[in-house]
Amino acid sequence: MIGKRIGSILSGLAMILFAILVIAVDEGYYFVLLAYLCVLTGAGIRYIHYYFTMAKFMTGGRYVLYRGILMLDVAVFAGTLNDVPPIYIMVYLIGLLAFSGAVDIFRAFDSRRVHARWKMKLFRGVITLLLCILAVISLKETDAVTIIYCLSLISNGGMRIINALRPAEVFVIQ
Amino acid sequence: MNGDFHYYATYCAAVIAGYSHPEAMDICYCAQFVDHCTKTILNSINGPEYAATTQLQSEMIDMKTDKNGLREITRIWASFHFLPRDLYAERPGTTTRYLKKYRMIAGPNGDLVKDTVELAKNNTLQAVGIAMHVLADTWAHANFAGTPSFVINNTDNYFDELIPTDNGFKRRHIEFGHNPAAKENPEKGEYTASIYQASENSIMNLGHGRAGHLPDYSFIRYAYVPAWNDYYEIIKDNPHDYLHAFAQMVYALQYLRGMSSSFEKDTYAWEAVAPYEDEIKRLIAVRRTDDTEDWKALGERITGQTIRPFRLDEYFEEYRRVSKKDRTDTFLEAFFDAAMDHKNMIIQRIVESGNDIAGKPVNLDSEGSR
Repeated sequence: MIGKRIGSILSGLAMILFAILVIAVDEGYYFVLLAYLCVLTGAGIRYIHYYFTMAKFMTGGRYVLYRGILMLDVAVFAGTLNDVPPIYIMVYLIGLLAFSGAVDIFRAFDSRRVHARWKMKLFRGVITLLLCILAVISLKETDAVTIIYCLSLISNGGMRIINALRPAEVFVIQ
Repeated sequence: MNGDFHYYATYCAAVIAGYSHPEAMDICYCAQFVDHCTKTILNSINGPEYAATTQLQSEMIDMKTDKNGLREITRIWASFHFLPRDLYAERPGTTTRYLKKYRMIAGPNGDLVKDTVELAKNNTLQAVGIAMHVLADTWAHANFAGTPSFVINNTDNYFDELIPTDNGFKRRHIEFGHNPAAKENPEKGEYTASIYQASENSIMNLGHGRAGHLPDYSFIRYAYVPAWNDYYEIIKDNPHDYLHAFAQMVYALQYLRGMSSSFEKDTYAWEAVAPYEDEIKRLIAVRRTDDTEDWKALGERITGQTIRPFRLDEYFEEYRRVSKKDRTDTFLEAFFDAAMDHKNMIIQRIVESGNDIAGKPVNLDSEGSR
């Protein structure tokens, strides 16, 4: 669990750093794209390796394979975006963030159904999604889109860090 | 299993097997203490950390789940609560990595149970108590592994309770809640379990967490699909298993008292249990989460003595009062010795099977107690 906490804090800090990069550095979004490419490729390969060595023999294990393939797919697609107008890169990045916001919302409702903690997840998901929608509405203004995207990265990163520092809700049957 | 079985039922088994009231009290205290002897408790009384037989939630929450952390977790849980049934189990077509975890699945009547009981022969009552806890848990915790593993210990939504009716059983779907503070209600079928966590080494995937407390309720029968069983359903019949656990404990205790020359697997003291079998079946079958009162009443009726309630710190003062070199004669020192010997024995067996999942046994002379 301590590994998970550290991971969440690091990913939160990374999101905030990316937001700064995108604003401060010319074409900073390429760094974000590169980070997505590396992280998703690594995660995809890890999941696929885990499937073939372990989850293949498990009831329902094929979902691990699907997850790995999906991640690899998203990573490969990110890698092909180096030669397109920046606005398309922004749309892609906003799309990824919106997807994570939607997943947070679904997870929040699922957690609520089984009486686990859900409010922070829902809040994070809703804020992320709203900012992404705002960014899409402002698509004609590239600067505005960039700033709104960075704001949602910062808020998302900040909430990840806050969540990581909360007492863990762990339910271990002994 | 819970305190009602580890403490009171073990007492009953001990007196039926011929132990005296004071001996049975020592045995059942130790059987129950296995569920409490954590590093935290040991540190509070300056006991040897290696003697830990369980872990607190708070100890596990912030534990690293790297190789050493996993070994630390596995040593404790596989040794005392999820004794592996078959360290040489085969599953064709799987990888070595998978087999290492597959072979940790617990179950009754494995070779390690025989080793556990034999280790307690001509040993202290503390060793006997530990052996009884381990034996009982092989029945309750069967089909789960004492090592964090998503691919072994996970379960899915296919979880039905089998409720007895006049002509068989009816199935009622179990939807687990995940609120640790929620009270369970067997009448309404409201149970809690650990949350789904698709991470191989997460502690949420340790033992029977994904089945909640169901393995520890004597009355319940349920059908589910464990992650390792290739989509086949398993029916867990706790009333059957608890009765067999009790009868096997009596048999083991008779062996340890010298009433038989060997301990064989899949053997039960049905003759000795017979006078009490109907009552035990009845009390096991009652839909409740705690059978303490009935087990206590049975034990007190058999001996005519009062079974004092389990008090965790019963022997702490005695242990704290003496200096380290004078601890040899204390009650708890004997427990710690027996726990460390048992843990080392199990780890050694796991190592001999070619599995490094629990690390290596330690040199007990360097662990402080001896």
